[in-house]
Amino acid sequence: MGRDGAPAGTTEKKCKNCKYWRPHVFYEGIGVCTYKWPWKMTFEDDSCEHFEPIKIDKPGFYWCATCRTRVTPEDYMYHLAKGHRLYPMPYVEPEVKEELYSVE
Amino acid sequence: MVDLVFEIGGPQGGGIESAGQIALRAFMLKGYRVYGTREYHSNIMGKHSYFNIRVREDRALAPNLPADIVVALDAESVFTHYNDVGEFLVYDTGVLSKDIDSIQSMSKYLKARVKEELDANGVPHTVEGVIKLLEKRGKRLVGVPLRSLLKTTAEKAGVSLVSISRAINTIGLAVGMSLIGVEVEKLQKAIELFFAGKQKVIKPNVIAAQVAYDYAKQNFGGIHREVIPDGPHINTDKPRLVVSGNDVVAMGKIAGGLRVQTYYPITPAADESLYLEKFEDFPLTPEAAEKLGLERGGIVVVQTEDEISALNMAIGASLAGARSATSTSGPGLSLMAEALGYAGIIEAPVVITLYMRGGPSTGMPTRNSQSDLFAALFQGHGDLPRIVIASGDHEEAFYDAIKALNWAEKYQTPVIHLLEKAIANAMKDIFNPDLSNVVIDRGKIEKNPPKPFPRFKYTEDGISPRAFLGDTVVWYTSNEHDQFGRRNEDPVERIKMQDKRLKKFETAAKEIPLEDKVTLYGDPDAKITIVGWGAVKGAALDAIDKLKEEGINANYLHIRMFMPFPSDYVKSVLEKAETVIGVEGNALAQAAQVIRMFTGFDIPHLVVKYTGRPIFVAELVESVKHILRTGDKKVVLSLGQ
Repeated sequence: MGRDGAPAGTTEKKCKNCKYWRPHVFYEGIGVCTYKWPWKMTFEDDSCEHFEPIKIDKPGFYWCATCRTRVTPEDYMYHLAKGHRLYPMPYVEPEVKEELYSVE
Repeated sequence: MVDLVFEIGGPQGGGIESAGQIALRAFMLKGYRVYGTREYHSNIMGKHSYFNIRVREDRALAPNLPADIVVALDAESVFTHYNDVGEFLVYDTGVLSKDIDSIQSMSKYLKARVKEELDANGVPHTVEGVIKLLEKRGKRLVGVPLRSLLKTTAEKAGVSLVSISRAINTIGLAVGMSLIGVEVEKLQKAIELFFAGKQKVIKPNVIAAQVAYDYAKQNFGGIHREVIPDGPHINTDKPRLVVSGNDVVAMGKIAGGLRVQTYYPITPAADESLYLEKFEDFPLTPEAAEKLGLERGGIVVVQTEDEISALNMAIGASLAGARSATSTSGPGLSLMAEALGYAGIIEAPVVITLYMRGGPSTGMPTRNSQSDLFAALFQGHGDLPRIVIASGDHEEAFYDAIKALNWAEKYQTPVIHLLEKAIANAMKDIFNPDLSNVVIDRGKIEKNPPKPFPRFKYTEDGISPRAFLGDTVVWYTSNEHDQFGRRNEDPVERIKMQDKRLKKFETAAKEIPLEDKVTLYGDPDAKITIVGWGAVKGAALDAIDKLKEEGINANYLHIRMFMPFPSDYVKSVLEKAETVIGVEGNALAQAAQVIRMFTGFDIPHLVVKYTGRPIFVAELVESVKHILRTGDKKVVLSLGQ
């Protein structure tokens, strides 16, 4: 089984499976396409001709969209095995700091 | 009378702050008083946060539940707040199938409680299950396709919409506002006010608001509920500000002539200093410029390496003649203990603004508490009196910040000004402060000090004239000293010097007016007296009104000064009442113990809350009725997530 429970090798050509797509750090199903600047908001089930499948096959730091957390090279396999959706990084809005409280 | 609660929740950093701020402004434009409580988690990003907004005609001083409208921007908000829903829940139809177990950011304890309730009602552990449960309860459920409306917004805005959170939040907010008839124009104006100068943010949000209103109109007939009319404060010429407790203390300090503020960043205190940093250089009014012979003013704000340094630096500034203060919260005060004693023995005027959060230790940094009263009163060793005050709302906090600076210099002592996180982080509308009666009293200052200078001269009232470093030679030592500040351990002189220091507080107790120490609200002849302090005031004032509607006549004794303590007055009020109920935001009922210490009066009934959340009006009303019904000695409150 591949990520998100989809059978390995049968990746649908949708944003959520594309290497150019970054899932929103908070809101599910929404993200940005980083294929070209300026980036564009898209939804996980959108698709386009620039699709290239995402490959999560090497140990590394990834963003687990299912758990909404950063995962380490040591535990990324655990998340993959559970069918979680891993990405190289999430999309964090540039203004996020204006929405956060200072906590010390 | 309109008394509305509007709640909006979502992931921390996901636009909840701006949604709350915009909602506050929209309700103000509609002519209402507002009070917005922010709840957020200490992990900073991603965990659940929410804004509870109280909207009233006359005064809004405390949060309340249930909420007339709950806007849940994600599944976690639905699971967290479904029991807060009074009438409407606005939710995202895109998360209906979301199972509670799939939400990793949610506390396992809350999950367990929610699942238990869903099981008991025979519904699944999904958002859809919660919706079914709320249907059974007769709530009105407003499903909104957030993603679809977001797409429409992006198309209409014609821009690359990458401020996603700030469009989603506006859509949710706008649907909620449309249900009660707050005009879209007012919401759009509020967006423009909050994002002033940021056209790239304003445009898509104004469009998002319109898209959401149009959707609500088509799908819910525009308005589901009785429309709230224009409030009494619409189109008046009395300007209002919307400020946090941190802001308003900073404003008070500026008005009170503060010259030096030191701090080490800590929640929920740091925002006060960050606000002051904006005023390191500012133009004076023409009147002030003429009076002072200066064109510009400024406050030196220094972030030090730790809290001990912060207080020591403020003390140093004070000795050099600057009005100085620091601000911190419980863990910071712990570190300041040694410097506090130093300020006491050298009689240095300095204000410590102490914001209370959940302790002990790091505790719950972003949650509310009133548990640092003992620390404020007893921090430090030796016979070390100080002035300790606590503000009950934003207006009090503004004027108390000014008075604290005056008392520190007049009585040459540390003044600890207590505020809870519930006030520090709450946003409230206030009318422009009246500065006509503001006086800056710097106390006894020797302008032509002799050499050597008897800085600690024995006087009738215990207060010795000060001279500033640089004007003469002054000895300051943390050791006991003689009138000239030179180290001295002579037993006879020790008595004189210690008594001199204590005498100042007798003078302060006599001179500070009673209205700055304590206030009795409501019928002075009521048989039931609720006694509290700090932010309890807001909930208590609403509670005595609600109780009156039910035929229960109670008054509220609001304590504002704990040292020197207004013993005689407090004792007389408490002894007059047939039933006395102490209300506090801590587990030990610290104020009740302080009252017993100073008056001998033992408060027989206690209502305490130490969940880290503020006291909601509804739970206070119920707890008072419970005590009257059962005679129970103690009620522990727990409302709110």
